[in-house]
Amino acid sequence: MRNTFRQSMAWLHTWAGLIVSWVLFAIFLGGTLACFDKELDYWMRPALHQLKPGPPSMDAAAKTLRGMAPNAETLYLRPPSDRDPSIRGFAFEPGKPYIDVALNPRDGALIPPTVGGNFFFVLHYNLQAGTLGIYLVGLAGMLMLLALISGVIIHRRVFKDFFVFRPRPGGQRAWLDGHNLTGVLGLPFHLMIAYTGVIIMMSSYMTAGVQIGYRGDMARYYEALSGTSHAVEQHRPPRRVASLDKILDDAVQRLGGAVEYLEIEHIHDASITISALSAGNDEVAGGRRNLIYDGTEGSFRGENEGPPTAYRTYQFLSGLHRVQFGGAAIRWLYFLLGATGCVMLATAAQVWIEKRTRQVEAAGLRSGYGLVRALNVGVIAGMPLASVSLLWANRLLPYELAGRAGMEAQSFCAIWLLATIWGVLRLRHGKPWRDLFGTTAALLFALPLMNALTQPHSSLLASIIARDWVLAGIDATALPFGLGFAWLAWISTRPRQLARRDPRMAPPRSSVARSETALPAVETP
Amino acid sequence: MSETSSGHLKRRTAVTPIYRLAVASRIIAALVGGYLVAYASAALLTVVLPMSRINRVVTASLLSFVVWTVVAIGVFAARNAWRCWWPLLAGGGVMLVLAFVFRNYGMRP
Repeated sequence: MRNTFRQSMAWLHTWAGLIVSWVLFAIFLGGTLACFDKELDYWMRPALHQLKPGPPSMDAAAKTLRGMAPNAETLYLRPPSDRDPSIRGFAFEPGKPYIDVALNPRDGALIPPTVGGNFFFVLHYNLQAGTLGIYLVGLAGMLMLLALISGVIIHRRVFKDFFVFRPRPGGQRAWLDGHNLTGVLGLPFHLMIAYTGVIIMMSSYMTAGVQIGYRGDMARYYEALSGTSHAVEQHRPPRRVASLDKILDDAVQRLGGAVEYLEIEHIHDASITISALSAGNDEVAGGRRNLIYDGTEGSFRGENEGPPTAYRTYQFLSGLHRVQFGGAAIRWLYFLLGATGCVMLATAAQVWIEKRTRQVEAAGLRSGYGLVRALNVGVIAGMPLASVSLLWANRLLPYELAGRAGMEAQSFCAIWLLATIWGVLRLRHGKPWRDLFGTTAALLFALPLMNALTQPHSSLLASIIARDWVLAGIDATALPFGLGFAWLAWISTRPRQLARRDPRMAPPRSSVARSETALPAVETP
Repeated sequence: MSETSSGHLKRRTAVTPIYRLAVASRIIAALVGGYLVAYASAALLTVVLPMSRINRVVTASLLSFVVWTVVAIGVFAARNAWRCWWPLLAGGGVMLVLAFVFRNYGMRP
């Protein structure tokens, strides 16, 4: 169909890239913000900012969690860490929504709920759309892998173009240079992220191995993966439940490091078992060791044999993606490379439109081209605005309000929808990109001020005085990003851009041939 | 196929319905056909890889996404729709049948 291999790869790059670019942008922005999910969790829970120093009480937390999920068979408790001072509790009761709560580490009291930074993490891996969302994200990841590989093939001068950035001519050349620069700069990271992102959820959609090897029995498969066997139920209630605090102390001593989770299994049965999974923050693949305790006596029973080799490889690959290793410096690196990916995707969507300026003008807004332009402005300019709005909603909604976590999520969606509608309405007469980027910049600049007014104890000044760098970091980071969005809003108002977007002011285009020769590698259908 | 002229705008605007169909066909082949071949390859690798069962299952699943990527690139490089589709269906089908026939061997510990 295409004449050469490179042309066919350009074809693949253009179309596989276009259909997935908006979903990928949402996944990328969600993932970039989720690099600091626990930090955002902390920022969004002001009740944790005034904690008195002292040891955590896992027993008090377990009591609260059992009260919330009386029929759950298994409870998970995550002890406080440097990144999150709360105790997190997780439980699942059949037929009820999954329980995921933050508890006060001193007395186990429930912290007012918020979607937290976890919102961006869920958005990142399933678009807040359950199992269907996991499949969609998996397909988007495959298309990203394809777009990256075909992008390398069509890009003849990878090294040379890396040093080429021509912002001044404006229009297509600048967008393409921006796309190439961010694409090449982040290429190793993006290839790694795309492949590891697809394989993380492979047990949801690549089930052939389990079908053949285990006749589709997922429970046996998971048991083989974890390298642990479960205690046999004795069908009588336990005499008592051992102290989780003592078990946690013992586990930390035996591991010589932090515990990621305490898992309480068979909680209503005499076979109750408590296991402590090591955090393993110094390893890319995360914790390998799992200590097992008797749930009634609290005595140490032994250590599991650990995961099989291939699964350890999987854990290494997914660990590269999930970035729970290496501390804040690595998370910042991932955050910045993720932001680079967002720019790569945003410029790509813009290149597609700029290359088709004449068709866009001829077809008008009620066409496929109009749809692409609407999606571009709605997703690329709308989602950052909605994301900042989520932080605003967190502070502005009263903390004692029932169902406030759901209202935070609704305000995120409502702002995104409004931003998209505004963007689409302004496409014909106006500067939608300037409006939305400008609003985002204003909300980012005003974030520390709003925070200081609504939660004086959590303000930037107060957190600097308290040397609470996690809390101060969120407010302080809002300012340079505000500057960045202000710059984006400013370049969106330049006359050159306007001329390309508004047919009434379109300059005579004798430059079609020039722009064709400027792009030898990428063909236009 | 796409370069058929349509009046004076022939250089840049020849997006015919046939061209759109061709793009859609390739993308479906890359995603659905590619998934089929990847799934079949994971099934067959679970049977043939020389390691213990849990390691075979995990390794086969990890490798299947590499297979999918290579297949999808081949799909777009194929000269026409026939050459794009038949190797997918034949290759995927043969691997699935082989994996099913030797499925008991695939369950060895």
